[in-house]
Amino acid sequence: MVELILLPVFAVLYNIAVVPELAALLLIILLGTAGVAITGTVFSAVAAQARLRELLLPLLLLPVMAPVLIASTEATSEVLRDPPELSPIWLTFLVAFDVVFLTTSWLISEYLLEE
Amino acid sequence: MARETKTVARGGAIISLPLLLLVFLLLAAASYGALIVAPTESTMGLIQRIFYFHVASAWTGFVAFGLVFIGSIGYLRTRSLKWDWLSVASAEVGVAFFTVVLVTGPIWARPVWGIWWTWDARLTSSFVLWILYVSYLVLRTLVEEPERRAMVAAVFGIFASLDIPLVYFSIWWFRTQHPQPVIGDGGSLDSRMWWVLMLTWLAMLGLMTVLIRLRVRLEALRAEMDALQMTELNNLS
Repeated sequence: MVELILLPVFAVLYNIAVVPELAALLLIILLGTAGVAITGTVFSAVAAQARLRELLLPLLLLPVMAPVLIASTEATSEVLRDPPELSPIWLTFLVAFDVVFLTTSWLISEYLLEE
Repeated sequence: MARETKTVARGGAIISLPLLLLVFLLLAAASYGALIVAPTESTMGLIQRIFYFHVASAWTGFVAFGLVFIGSIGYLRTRSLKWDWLSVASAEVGVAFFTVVLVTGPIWARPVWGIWWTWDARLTSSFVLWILYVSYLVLRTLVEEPERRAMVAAVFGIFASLDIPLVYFSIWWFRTQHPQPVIGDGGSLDSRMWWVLMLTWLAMLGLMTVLIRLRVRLEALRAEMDALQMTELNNLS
């Protein structure tokens, strides 16, 4: 949601034509957000079990999330390039990340949530 | 006395002397091979010899992190703390080996590339991997109860190892866009260099085994001590 509001603001501020590439951008946003949400949820559950959890969460989350962040930024910069040249590599990577992490967290959640 | 024998039995035998000797000999042979036997690389010169330790440590580090993955799954499956001991031991040893990688890398890069560090894909991902397992160890110190610590660590250990292939796929793709002359030595490696590399790797694997076994034993003794303390406390009260 925040991204949907931020997108037009950034487009205006940086003078980038987002409209022609809107579909691709939305896809990247969707996949990237899914990756961040999945890892965020699992690792909040992990950190909630420990002391100093506010401090621990970013420490755990940043390295795990790094591939998503890198892939989304690379994909976005490719889309916004002139001319846009989105290679399927980063999108495939995002999809793979989402699928792998979603499956694993689904398999693991039963262990994680039992108390 | 009965207690003592039990401790040793539970902690596994102390590292056998032959194994230690073997690892020591392998390390000595690997150093000899890397420093004297292997031919000097034509363009980079002597500094290239650090490559044997650098690459062998990296591979060994991956093996150790793989053991963390196995230990984590084993713990979730069986709920036996022994698997957790394997995980923590391998994670610590793996971090140690990866520290070697991250230290020898810049030492090599400085004379060859002219810079200590660059945010290239492979360097960055190795660094991220190192951070992952350091935070794994930090996480462990922040959960007190052994069972819960083992469970939380196992979950994180599994996710961390999932990141390894993902990180490496991204490099593979990245490399197709930006070929790196430095890494493409796979095909053109001199056969003597290849043998020395394998020997070094073998030595490093042996060292890893010794270290992990010692560390597992330490963890077992620690658990034993905690249990004894608990019974003492119960007897007192």
